[in-house]
Amino acid sequence: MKKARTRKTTDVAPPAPRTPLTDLHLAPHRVVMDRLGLATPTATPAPSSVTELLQTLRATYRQLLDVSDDDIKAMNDADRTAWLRFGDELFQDIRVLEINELEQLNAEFAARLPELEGATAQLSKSFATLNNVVAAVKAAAQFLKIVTDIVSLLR
Amino acid sequence: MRYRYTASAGALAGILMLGACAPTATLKRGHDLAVAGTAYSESIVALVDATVDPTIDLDSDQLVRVRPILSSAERRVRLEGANDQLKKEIAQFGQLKRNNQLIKAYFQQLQALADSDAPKNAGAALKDLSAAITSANKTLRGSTHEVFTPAQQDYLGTLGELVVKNVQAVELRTALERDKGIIGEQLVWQQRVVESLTKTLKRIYEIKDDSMKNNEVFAPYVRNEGLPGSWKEDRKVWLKASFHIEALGQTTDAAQQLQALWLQFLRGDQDLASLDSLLDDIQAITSAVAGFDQAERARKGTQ
Repeated sequence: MKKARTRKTTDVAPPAPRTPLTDLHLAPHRVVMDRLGLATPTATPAPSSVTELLQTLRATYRQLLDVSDDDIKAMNDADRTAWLRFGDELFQDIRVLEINELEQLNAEFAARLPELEGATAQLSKSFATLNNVVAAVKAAAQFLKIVTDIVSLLR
Repeated sequence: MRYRYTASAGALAGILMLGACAPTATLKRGHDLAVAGTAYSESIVALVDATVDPTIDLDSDQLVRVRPILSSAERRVRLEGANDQLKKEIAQFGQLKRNNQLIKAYFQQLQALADSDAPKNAGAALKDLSAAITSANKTLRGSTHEVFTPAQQDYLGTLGELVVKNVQAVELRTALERDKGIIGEQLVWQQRVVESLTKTLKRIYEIKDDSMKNNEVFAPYVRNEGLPGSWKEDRKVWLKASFHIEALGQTTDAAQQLQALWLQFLRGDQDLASLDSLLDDIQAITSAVAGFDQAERARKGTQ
């Protein structure tokens, strides 16, 4: 990576606009990976869900990073820049999808939350009812004792 | 959005079978389920915690990697963007934890009902009441006749305990019957959380593992130079770390059995031992994360 670090950063063109995630931009990715002599991502069926898309992007990102520092040093500047940019784009796409997946999980939970809270409240009520029965019997016994004590005192 | 949980006829039959159990058996099963459910929820909370640090570290690694090709202005934009995204992700992790705490609260309440000492207290209270009635009869009416003999008072106490125990078992059965759908759904939801988190962790550790394989194991061996002194140790650490990653994959598979186990448990043909083993699996994930981190630290220490 030494070469890349000594490279002037000011002459790097700003990143190109990102293509939509759903395209998977696998075609240009394959071109870059072929050019770098890296394993080409295996033919991927069109992802039918966020989870599948995430899986594909994660696998591609992993393949991309599966090179040694020696291999990276051996790349020319243009290839190294393309490799790093491509990896960074993939990484950011993965982050977006991971957040999306977590948001979806939490939203699904939130939709069913009233029912869960209702169930917990019902359990609490059952517990209270059970204790109230005991309290009522205790109170009756206590009441009788007090009445008996008062009558005894009055005699 | 309702997620998939089919309360099958089998589950319904299970509830009815649970209802047919003796009160003691019903209360024990309720207790076991509540304890397992609580522990399972706690394990998932621990798993969420274990995912946060590696997620942040991976993000920082990527920022470091791409930094050399970015201008100062681009670096600022990239870092700000990364911070925003990471904050969002951590907030979602926090929400996952809170949601699991709510599931845990249900099981804790279930345990309170199953473990309630109301039957014992009711027995004692009824015995007291019968003694009070006997005493009041003597005092108020001047009667020498004992309404309840001491032996009868003991019997009433025992009877009261049994009656309230039955009421408690009925309450528990009713709760399980009423809640089987929502709890089944929550268990499926928890399973999906475990899957999502383990996939995230697996991805992180696979990348670290590949880097170690390429830079510490293969590259020094292939290079036409002398091997570094740490090579043997690095290779050992890498191989051991691979086992931890394998374990992550296996635990995801194990978590998928949860819903089936829940149905089997309701049917009464499955004890909680299998649920306990799932619990062990979740704990194994967190141990695997800790194990990998230790291996990573050991590796860095030898460099």
